[in-house]
Amino acid sequence: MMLKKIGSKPGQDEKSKILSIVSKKAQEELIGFGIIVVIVFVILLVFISIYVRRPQENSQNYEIESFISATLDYTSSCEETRKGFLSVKDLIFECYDNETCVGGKSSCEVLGTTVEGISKESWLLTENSETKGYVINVTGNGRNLASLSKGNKTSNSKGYQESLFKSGISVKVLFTIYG
Amino acid sequence: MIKKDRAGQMKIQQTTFMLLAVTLFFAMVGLAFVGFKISGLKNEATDVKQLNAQLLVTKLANSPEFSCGNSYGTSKINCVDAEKVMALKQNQEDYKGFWGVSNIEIRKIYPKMNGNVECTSVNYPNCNIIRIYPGNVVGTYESNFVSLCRKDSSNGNFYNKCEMAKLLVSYQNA
Repeated sequence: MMLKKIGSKPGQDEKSKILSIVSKKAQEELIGFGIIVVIVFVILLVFISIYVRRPQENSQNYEIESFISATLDYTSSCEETRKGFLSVKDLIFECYDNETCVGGKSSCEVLGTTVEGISKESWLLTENSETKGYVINVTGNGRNLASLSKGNKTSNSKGYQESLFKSGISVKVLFTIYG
Repeated sequence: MIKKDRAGQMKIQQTTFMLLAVTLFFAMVGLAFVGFKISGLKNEATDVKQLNAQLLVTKLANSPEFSCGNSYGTSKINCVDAEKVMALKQNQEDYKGFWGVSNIEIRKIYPKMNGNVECTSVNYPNCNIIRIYPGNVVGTYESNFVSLCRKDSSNGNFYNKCEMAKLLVSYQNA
């Protein structure tokens, strides 16, 4: 009895009404689902971009600092009658006072050759190496005591300055490397 | 009654499909994320090892087993006592796995010596490489500059001799 009623004309109208309401609702839900998909996709993209852009630590910073401290502690070939063989740190102050080593060599000359030798062996400047060049400047109360420049000066540089004080003399050791 | 039943059935079907689709979507996203994470796990393990080596290389020279302390005048940073390291090398078995790295090497770089000569109790100090553990440095390594100090004599007088060296800490890639 009921089936007959639905099959009739007024029944068909009712059916199409129900179907149009249902399809509208389904469309709305599909839009909602689409929005959820877009939101999740955006969140995922944000996460991936953060993960990819993680900063890379550079190991050369501590190497520069340690290079200067190890250089200053290096025992040079300059011998002084009272102090014995001088470290580069002591040699810088001797150079400031224009002292000579046992054997008559100038302390500034020994300082220059020692710093050059250490740098040459420590920072190899080859085509494949990370370091393309370096500059060392040693000054005492603004006066240049030793300076060295090797390789190319690129726009990518890193440096470190060590300050030393002894009886009114302020020494600055500046080392910069170019990558 | 049938109209209401049909509409209800449709609603239930829609909800079921929606729930299924949402669950499937999140499951796929989750799977993709897990896959992405697992693929990066190996790299992460290597990164952790590298970070450990980096931290170790900056701290090792100032650790009691390596540092000069006050043996060579004033207290120095990044100063390695060569005599201490040689003694440590003799007792390497006690330090197996202590630092969690594959090898630790101290390589004298200035004054330059011809060739690579590994230090033993026989040839020390006429050598330029001190390896804590036996065998070559394998895998990847992190390095740092240190001053390698020891007692030396000249004309019968003892003095502190510090040379330029590189401390290398090597680790195996995951």
